[in-house]
Amino acid sequence: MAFRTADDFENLAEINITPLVDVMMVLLIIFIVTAPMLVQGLQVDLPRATAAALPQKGPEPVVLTLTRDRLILLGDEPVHLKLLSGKLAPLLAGGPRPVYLKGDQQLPYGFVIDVLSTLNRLGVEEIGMVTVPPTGS
Amino acid sequence: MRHLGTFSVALVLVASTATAQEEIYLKVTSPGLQRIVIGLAPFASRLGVDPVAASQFLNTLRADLDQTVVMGLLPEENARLVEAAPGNPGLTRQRWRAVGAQLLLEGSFSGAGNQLVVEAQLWELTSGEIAYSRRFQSSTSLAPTMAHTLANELVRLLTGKPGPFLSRIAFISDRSGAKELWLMRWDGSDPQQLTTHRSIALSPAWSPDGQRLAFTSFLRGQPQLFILRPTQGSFKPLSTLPGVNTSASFSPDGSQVAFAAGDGGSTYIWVVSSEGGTPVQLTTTRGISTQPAWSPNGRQIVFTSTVGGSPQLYAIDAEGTNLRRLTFQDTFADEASWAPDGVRLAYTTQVDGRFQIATLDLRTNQRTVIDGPGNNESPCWSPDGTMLAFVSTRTGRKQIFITDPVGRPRQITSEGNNTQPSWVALVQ
Repeated sequence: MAFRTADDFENLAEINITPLVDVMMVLLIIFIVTAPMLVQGLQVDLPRATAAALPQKGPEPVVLTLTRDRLILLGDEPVHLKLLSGKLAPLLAGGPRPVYLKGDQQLPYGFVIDVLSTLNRLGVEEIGMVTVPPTGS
Repeated sequence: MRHLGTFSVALVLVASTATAQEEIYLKVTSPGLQRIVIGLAPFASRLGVDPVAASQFLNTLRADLDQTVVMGLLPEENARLVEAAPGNPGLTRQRWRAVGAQLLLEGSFSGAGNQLVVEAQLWELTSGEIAYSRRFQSSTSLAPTMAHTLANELVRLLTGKPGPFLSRIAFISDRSGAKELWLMRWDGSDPQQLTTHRSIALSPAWSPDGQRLAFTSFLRGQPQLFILRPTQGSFKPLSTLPGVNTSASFSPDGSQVAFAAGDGGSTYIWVVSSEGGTPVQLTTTRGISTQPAWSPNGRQIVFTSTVGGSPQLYAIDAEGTNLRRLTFQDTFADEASWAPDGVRLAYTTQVDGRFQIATLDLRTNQRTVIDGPGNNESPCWSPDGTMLAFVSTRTGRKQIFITDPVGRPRQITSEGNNTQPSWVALVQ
């Protein structure tokens, strides 16, 4: 059979969103006003977007920085994606805590998804995507 | 009676908790302090480099780095996660940090023919700075020695003292049929027979510079003291006093040797110039005085004496004054060995009829007895004070053990009976 059936096409068009929705995850878009952040000379260009300011209440968030070179920094400590769960688990053991991602705007979508699914497996329910305000606003 | 009963119950409780403890001889790292994790980046190799020498170098280095007290090699499964970023060494180093490395050793091989050149840099990954950089050049046959030298320097960088990797242990073994003097690398590899007297050799002791080895031999019938220069092969008598001449110990500057000698019922501690000459008697108390050990600052000598009945440790100033007893809690104390810090002694004690290793802190007078299986005796500190060598019968015959980075015992000999270790930093 050289022809694809209609079923095959339906399967291809289906978007697999299950890994991210099995836990109710709240995605926030937050902006911070900071100088360009530098960790060990690694520059992170945050996306520019109009968003709500950082909430000042609730448990202290865990901040993950994702550099353009796909380096993940927990605080200012680089952590390999495969070791991230092990490093984060003790930080999240004390109860729900939001996780803020400071990702470079040029990061591949797939890499961000890898990080998000790791957070999802750890039961993180609140994730903030950190942005900076658009220029001129 | 009631008092006695309570007392014995308390003793049983103490004994049971003691046996439940792990057999740790030295707590060299304070609790909670972890070994520094070092990553070993793949070494680049130029065309023409002897591949056998290069892999010998790397295998030796890897083995050394994993055996130190202060650092541990990054696990292989973590190292495999690191993807090199071409043209961006800074990012590559951050990726090493991301898999848990705190230090990263980078290096390259060059040189051709029978020459091997190694260039090595150690990066401190948190600050991103070079902590150490050095170029080594030698003949390919010395590749393992180059690796040991590099590992020693890395340990020195972290502790201020060189690592044990070029150190050697002299010992007595009967593996060739008679009790002869032998030498091996600190981890038990590369054993070499130093004497072929077919007599009885006993109690070897290194000069601190690693050039001379004093020991007792029955070569001429009576036990006499001899000096051997292993690298030159020269061999001459040092003390031939009537009766026994035994248990030599060099002064820290190598100029003098303390030993035990005597005829008839008593032996005394004597001191003789290490170049030979007339020995001077240091102690005069009756009974057996033996096993002198010169303190690292040269001011005093600890020895075993039976003057109070049972063998106990005593100290005397090197001039022969200020005699004092050091051990009071032991029924038996012998074979003292000074830690290089000059504060701790390791010695052989007796618990429930078995010999065990004990340590005594001379500042606090705290005595620690390690409860190991079998008989454990003849402790000897490593030159940097982070390890102990000792003799144990736990696996049947007498074998030499050293402590691993955690302080647990590790067997390093297996052929014949092997006893009386004496550890030196470098044989010259």
